[in-house]
Amino acid sequence: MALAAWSLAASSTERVVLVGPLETARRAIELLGDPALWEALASSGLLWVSGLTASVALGVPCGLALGRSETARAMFGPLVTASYATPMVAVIPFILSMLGFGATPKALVVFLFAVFPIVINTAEGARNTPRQLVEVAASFRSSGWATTRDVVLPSTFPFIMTGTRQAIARALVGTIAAEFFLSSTGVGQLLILMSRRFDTAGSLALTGMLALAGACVMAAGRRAERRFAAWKVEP
Amino acid sequence: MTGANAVEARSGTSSPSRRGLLSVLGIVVFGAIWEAVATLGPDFMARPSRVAGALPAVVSDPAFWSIAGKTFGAVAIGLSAACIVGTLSGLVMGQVRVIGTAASPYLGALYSLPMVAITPLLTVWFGFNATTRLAVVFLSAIFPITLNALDGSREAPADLLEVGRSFRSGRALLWRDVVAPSALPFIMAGVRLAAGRALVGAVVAEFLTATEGLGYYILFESRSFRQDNAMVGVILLASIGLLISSGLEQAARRLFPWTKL
Repeated sequence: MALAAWSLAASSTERVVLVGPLETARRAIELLGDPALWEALASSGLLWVSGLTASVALGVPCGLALGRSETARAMFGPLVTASYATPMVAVIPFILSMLGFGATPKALVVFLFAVFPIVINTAEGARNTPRQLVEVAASFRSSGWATTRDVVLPSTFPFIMTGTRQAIARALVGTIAAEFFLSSTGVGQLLILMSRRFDTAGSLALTGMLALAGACVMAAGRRAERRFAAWKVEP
Repeated sequence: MTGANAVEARSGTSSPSRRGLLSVLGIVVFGAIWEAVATLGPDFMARPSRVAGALPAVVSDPAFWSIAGKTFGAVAIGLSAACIVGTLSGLVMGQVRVIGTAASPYLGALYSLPMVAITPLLTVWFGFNATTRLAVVFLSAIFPITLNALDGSREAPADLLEVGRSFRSGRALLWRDVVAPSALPFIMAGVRLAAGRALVGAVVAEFLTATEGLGYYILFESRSFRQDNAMVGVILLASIGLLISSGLEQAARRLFPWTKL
C-alpha cells in the first residue's frame, strides 16, 4: 500500500523531485554493482566503528570512576550531563578549524556524539551496584581496583550495553554529520553529490540502504542489551 | 532515576553545599585544562577567559537573540507538530492492530535512519531555506514519538482493560483511564529523545543550507576567526538542550509518579 501511494505521488510530481519505487529499485541495483558504493560504505563503516570503539574504551572507565567516586561525580557529573544534552554538531566548526581535514577529526566527532550516553549509563550502573557485594568485597580486603574489576564491572555490564545501544544510533548520526561538514568522504559525500546532481532516485536508494543498515545495527544492539539484561540487579 | 537518588540519600556523606562547591571546582578544572590546551593552539582558538569576555557583548546584542529565536522557533514549531502527529498516529497504530502491523517495519527503519542523511535530499525538495530546516526538525522528531506512543499504548495492562470492559466501560473511558495513563510516560520519554534530535536536526540544516539561525551563526563566526563569539552560541544551544531535557524529566516525574522510566 505504501508502494502504491509512493508511485501515485511520484507520477503526479516532477521527476527531479520524486521518482517512483520502480526507478528507485533500478537505481539501487545499479548502485549495488558500483564499487564506489562499497568503498563509501566501507569508509563510513570504518569511521563509525573507530569512533564507537574509542567511545566505549574511554567512556566505560570514565563512567566507572564517576559511579564509584562521589567526589568525581560531584565535580564532573553536571558537566557530563550538560555535554550529553549539547547538540554535538555545533562543535564541528571548531574541530574543523583546530584539526582541519583528515580521519582523526572525523573520528573525534563520532566519539563526541557517542561517548556521553556510555559514560552516563555506566556511572548509573556502577552507582547501583548492590552495597552488600561491595561491602563483602571490602571486608575480604579486596583492593579498590579489584573490587571495581570483579564486582562493580560485572554488575554494571547491562548498563554499559544500554549506553552502547544508545551510542550506536548517535554514532551513526555523527558519522554522517562528520562526512558532510569535515572532509567529505563515504556515504555522506555520496549523498551530497547525488543531491547536487539531482539524482533523486540515487538519494532515495542510498537512504533506504542506510535505513536498513541502521535498523540492522540497532537491532543487534537491542539484542545484545536484552541478552545481558538478565544480569541486571534491581536495586 | 529514583534508585539513584536513594543511593545518594543513603550515602549521605556529602551535603548539598559541598556538592555545589565540588561542581564549581569541576568546572574550574575543566576550564583550566581547556585554557592550557588553547594556549598551545593557534591564537584564534576559543578559550574560556576570552569567551567570558565576549559573553556580555554577544548576549546584549539584540541581533544575536533574533538569530537564536529563529532556530528555537523552528524547533518549537517542528517539535510541537511532531508531538501532535506522532502521538495521534502512534496511538492509532497501537490500537488498530492492522495498521500497526503494516506500519511498524517502516517505522523501525525510519527511526533508525539518521535524519541528517536526508537533509541534502530535502534541499532538493524545499530549497536552501527555512522550510528545509523545519522539515528536518519535524522528521527528526516524529519517529521517536510515534514509536513510543505505539509501544506505550500497547503497554496498557490487559487485566485492567478486561476489568474495565467487564464493567461495561466505554471505549472513551477505557482510553482516558487505562490507555492514556500507561502511554503518557512513554510518549514523554519519546518527546525528550525527540527534542535532542530536533536541535541536532536544526543545526545540521542550518549548516547545510546557510539559513539564518544559531547554527549558522556558530559556523559563520568560527569561520571568521571569532571563535569566542561562536562558543557563546554553543553555550546557549547547550543550555537550551539541557533545559528542555531536564524540564521534561522533572515534568514526567511530577505528572506520572506511577511509573519510573
